[in-house]
Amino acid sequence: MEPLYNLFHLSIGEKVILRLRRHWFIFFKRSLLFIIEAIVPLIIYILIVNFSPDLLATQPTNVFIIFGTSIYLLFIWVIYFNSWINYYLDLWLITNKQIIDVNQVDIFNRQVSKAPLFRIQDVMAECKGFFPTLLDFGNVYIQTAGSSEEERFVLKQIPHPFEVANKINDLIKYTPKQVFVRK
Amino acid sequence: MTFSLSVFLYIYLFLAGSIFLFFLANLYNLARYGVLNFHTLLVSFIFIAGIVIIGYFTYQHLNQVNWQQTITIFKGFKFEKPSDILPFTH
Repeated sequence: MEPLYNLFHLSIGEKVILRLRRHWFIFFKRSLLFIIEAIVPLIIYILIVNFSPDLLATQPTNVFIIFGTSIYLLFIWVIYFNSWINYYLDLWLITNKQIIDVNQVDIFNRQVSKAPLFRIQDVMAECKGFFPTLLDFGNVYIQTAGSSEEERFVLKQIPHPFEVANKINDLIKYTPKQVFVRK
Repeated sequence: MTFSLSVFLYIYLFLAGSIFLFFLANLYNLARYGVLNFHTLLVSFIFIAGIVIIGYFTYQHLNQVNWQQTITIFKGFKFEKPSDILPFTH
């Protein structure tokens, strides 16, 4: 594991202003799903005991049930771990010079994109839905110069989107514009 | 068709091994791109402990099984070569 500065090749004097991840509620929802998945074998076992107890009488059937349950639990546990890693490694860094979007799409797919602050043209925050409004999380859309609407940066389901958008706007305000002179 | 119960043990070991490899790849991802702190270490420990617990209980339940026991499926079904059914003619 490397320190953040090495991991994203931040330049000298570059300071991390905000480090953002998705709101905890997103992973909480995934955790609820995991709990439901984990109790499925228990429900099936109770159904077998009540409606077809003969199935448990022979050793081969017992072995199948133990193998099936074990593989199923291992599988959902590892998938849950994978979900946590995707949640944890999905990251947005806002520095005094740029915005870094780290997207852990899946286990072998990681995308890192950067947008310098002087290229940012528009910042828009959105908080839509019951839980996002209640818990104050939502998306922040960042439009950079020369990018289409589909290519814009999206800080997805981050906490306090309006404060973050204001902070980015403040940073842009104090970032010197780069002027390119054609010779 | 009759075969030993241990065949299922090998199938189980293959599947469990594949899942464990996937787990190791995840752990590698975390070590490669994560930041070393108490949070990541704690979560890694919890997930490793979960795998150990599932493995331990599976072992406890399968400890008493007689793996030499045979099981029969497709009782009364006779496997025949195609040559036994259709005579080979030109």
